[in-house]
Amino acid sequence: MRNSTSAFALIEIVHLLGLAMLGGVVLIVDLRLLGVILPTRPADRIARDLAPFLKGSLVVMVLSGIPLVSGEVMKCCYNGAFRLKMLLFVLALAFYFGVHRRVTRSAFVSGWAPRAAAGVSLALWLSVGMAGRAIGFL
Amino acid sequence: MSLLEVCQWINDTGPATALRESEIAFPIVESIHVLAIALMAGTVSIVDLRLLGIVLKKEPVSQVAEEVLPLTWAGFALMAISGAMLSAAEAVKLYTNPAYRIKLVLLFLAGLNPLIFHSTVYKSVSAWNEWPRPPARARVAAICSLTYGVQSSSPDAPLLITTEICRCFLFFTGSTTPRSARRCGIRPRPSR
Repeated sequence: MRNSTSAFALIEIVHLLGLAMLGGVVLIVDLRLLGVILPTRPADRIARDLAPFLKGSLVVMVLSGIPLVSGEVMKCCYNGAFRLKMLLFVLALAFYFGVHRRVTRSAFVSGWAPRAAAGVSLALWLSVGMAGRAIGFL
Repeated sequence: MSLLEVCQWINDTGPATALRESEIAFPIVESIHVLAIALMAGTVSIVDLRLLGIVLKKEPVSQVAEEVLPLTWAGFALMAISGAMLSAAEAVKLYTNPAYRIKLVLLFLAGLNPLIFHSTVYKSVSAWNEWPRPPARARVAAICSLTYGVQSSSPDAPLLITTEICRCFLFFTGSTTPRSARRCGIRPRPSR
């Protein structure tokens, strides 16, 4: 893997297309929860509608991420940005499946809870992306 | 002055040199560029998936488009600014890079997408605004738009030609109410 530039580039492209999809879905759902976009449409329905794409892009990102890492496991292991990214990724996943999904599923999507969930979710996913970018620069 | 000389001049200006030689600014601008691309591609694909009748089927097309596309434009603006900065910093290196030229052409073609979409299919949106699955022409426009996401990362000539033929078709078949909408007794109304 680490000897083939085209294979690495190709898988990286898949990884980035997954990122675009994931970023788009997270942004739409969270901005809806914050009341920035589509405020007149039901938030739970939007979240439910887009959930398969969120999970799908997560699968694509993990599946394309594994070969990217496996080529340079030793390098990544000692890379602070990579460790931070994995930590943030686990936190973001836990937050999504533990808190975020419950908030959007509850019948009353109002009050402070959805806004707080949206803010935390946006911050977590954005920092996963930033840490991911930093891997190559360290 | 030839194009190469223009590139050389841009390459040697103060800000371009400073950005190229900076160990902090260059990665930051590059990161902004990548995140902006994700923002643009991610949000526009939601609109495309709505046009294909895959997601947000119960939300009106015009509302999804009007509230999500500003995010796409914000991503585009960020991408264009950071991209121009990166290009200026490496102008001479990029002058000889064939992939960069292909990318610029694709960027231009992709830029025609919203223009064609809004001046043709989207004009009759009021007739099919609430449809879970919009008419065929809107779906074709969505597929053309989605294709560019893949194109810009790995250009493919046959795919590009097919997309362009579809877009010419869309462009020249105009903005009349789709036949499938007329069949349901829907007449064109001015859009909101």
